[in-house]
Amino acid sequence: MKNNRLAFLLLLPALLVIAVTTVFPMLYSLALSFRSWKLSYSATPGPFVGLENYAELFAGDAEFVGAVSTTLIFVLADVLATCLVALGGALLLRRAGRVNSLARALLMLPFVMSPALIGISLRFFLNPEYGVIAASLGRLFPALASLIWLADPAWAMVALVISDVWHWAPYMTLILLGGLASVPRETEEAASVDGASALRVFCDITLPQLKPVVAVVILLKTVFALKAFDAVFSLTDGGPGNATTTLAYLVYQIGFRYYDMGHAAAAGYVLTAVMLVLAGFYLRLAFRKGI
Amino acid sequence: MKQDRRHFLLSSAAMLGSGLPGLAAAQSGGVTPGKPYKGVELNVLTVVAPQFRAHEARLPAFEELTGIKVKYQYVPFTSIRDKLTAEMVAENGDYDVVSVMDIWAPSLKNLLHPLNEGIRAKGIDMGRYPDVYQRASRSEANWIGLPIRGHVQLLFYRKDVLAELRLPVPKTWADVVRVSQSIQASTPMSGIAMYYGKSAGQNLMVWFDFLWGRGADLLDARNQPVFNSPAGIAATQDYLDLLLKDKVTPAGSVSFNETDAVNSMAQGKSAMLPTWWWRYQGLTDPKASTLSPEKVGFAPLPGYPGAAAPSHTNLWLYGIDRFSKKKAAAMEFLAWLTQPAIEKSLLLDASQREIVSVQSVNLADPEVNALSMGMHRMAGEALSNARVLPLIPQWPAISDILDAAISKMALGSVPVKEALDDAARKVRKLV
Repeated sequence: MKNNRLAFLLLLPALLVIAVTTVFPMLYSLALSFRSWKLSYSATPGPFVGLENYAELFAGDAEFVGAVSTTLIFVLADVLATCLVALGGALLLRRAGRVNSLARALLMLPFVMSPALIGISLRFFLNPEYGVIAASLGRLFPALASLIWLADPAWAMVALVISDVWHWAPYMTLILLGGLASVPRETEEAASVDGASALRVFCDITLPQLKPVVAVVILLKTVFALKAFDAVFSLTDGGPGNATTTLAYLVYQIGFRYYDMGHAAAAGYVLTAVMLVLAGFYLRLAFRKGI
Repeated sequence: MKQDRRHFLLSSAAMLGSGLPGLAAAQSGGVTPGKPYKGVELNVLTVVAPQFRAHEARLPAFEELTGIKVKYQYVPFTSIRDKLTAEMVAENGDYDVVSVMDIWAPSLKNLLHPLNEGIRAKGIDMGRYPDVYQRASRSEANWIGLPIRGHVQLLFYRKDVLAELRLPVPKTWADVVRVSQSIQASTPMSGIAMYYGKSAGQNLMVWFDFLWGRGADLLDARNQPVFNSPAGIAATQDYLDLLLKDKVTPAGSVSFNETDAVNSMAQGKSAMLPTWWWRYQGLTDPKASTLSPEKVGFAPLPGYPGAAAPSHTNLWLYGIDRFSKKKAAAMEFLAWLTQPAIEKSLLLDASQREIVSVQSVNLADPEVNALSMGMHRMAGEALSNARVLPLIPQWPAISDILDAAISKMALGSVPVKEALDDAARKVRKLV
């Protein structure tokens, strides 16, 4: 009993910090999502409007519907690309060796860079007049020579995905490397001795044992992709047109460009609800598999 | 800081020596005698601009006069509106003086302290600013800020290229096409760097001039959209034709923001550029550009034949946060900082290469114009017929709708009428 009390006391400062910095703002914004608050008209939140903000989003807001579909496309492409790149990277770096150790250490570099910086840099790299990536790709693939990346809705989305994959794939590679370390090499070696090809070994032996970790990577990346904001802000500004306006970016637009705080809180909570469901899956998976 | 102070004292001495009594007067102007606010510390939240860095370098003189310490926090343009909103909504008064762009002011007016009383008490003559800036500083009966940084649009062009090809400086948009075609036929350069990409409304800045030049407008007296009128559609088509039909812009203009277009000219890829006057500094800065001042000329923004079209201007105000606990000291600071003599001292300081001016007396000043080769007189004339954007709370949202529409039309995939009608529908719903 005494130990429990001490443990609680020791945890108390951290709990207080979390309550003030996370729980209170979340509850406050939840309450806000049921109120009307247009900052242009009032410096303080307005009256309670029930579910009106939510109803407006789903009933008549074409921008919201567009942002939801853009978010789905972005999340699908981003999660798939990140997982494939991360898995490939993890398999390449699995073997011990000096070069691989160095590569693993260097993997952290893209991850520690600010996503906004990555977005701004990529915008320069893709500039049709002096962008080094745009020029290099144009030389390698003549069909891309006249492509203006950020002017085409599909290619702008590709650029956004590239930016996010570059940022996150290394971190996911490290997680998968940890998972691969727990796959017994004997089982793979036995299959090889029995004449299984490398692809067969990977598909039938390695991947099934790696599934729980892959599931965690997919879930985590999905949550991160849903939240993606910095790259949209710094790379495409949601354009061309509204082709890359994701839900997270739309929430920012409604709140900080249109000053409609109640509406922005409601849109934010739609996003939060999706992420809570995914977080529930993640926790279930984590506890069931003891990850 | 030591270096700043030394630099300030040296430049002050140099200017006083060269017969600039205005600065000496500015050292004491607008300040309450007896240092009643001694020890007060003011926080200023401001957008990044060389002009404000130059102000900061002059703060030791203000501190000596008043005993008030002033601290600047700079935020890049792309983030200042978010920071400003977050800080002001928090109602904690952490910042006393804030920089606000004219079009945001109607939305943020509830969070800004009215300056009427302070202006009266300090004897500030608001008539020292051009009319258009006075209008942009008011919300109904209240002054909500003092003009501090204002911009007019100019056409920058390659003097050397036009001279070599014996081409005239374009006066109309049709001239721009003709001159651009000649340039493109004789050099690897694009004619004019435009910016149609989606980027916080930057692709609208020149479009307004096309629109107003054709006699169209954005909103009517009831704030209903009229930009999709026949004249508005024709103006928008002209604006896009530079890219889509006449092809006198870099191909990348379709996704360029203003900075990309400036870089295009600075790197010698484009021969002309319509943009804000303050960009002249960057275009002729050897650290950022391949161009020297001798190669870059400037002219009023082109228009349509036979019509003196209003040009677009924008303004930054310095206002006082409604929740500031040091409003009187903040007003003391604003009164001192916004004196014409302080602005003039910046304009004449060769080390600063500052261009921006909002005071009528400085725009017409012979010394200032001698240094800027008449750019300020040209700006003053443009301001006499300039317009600001609709100062209504819904404008930021309307701007986003139009920003997306222009970006979509520039792809050439949506007809102008269809895109403008769609934008008008969205705007009607909003207002």
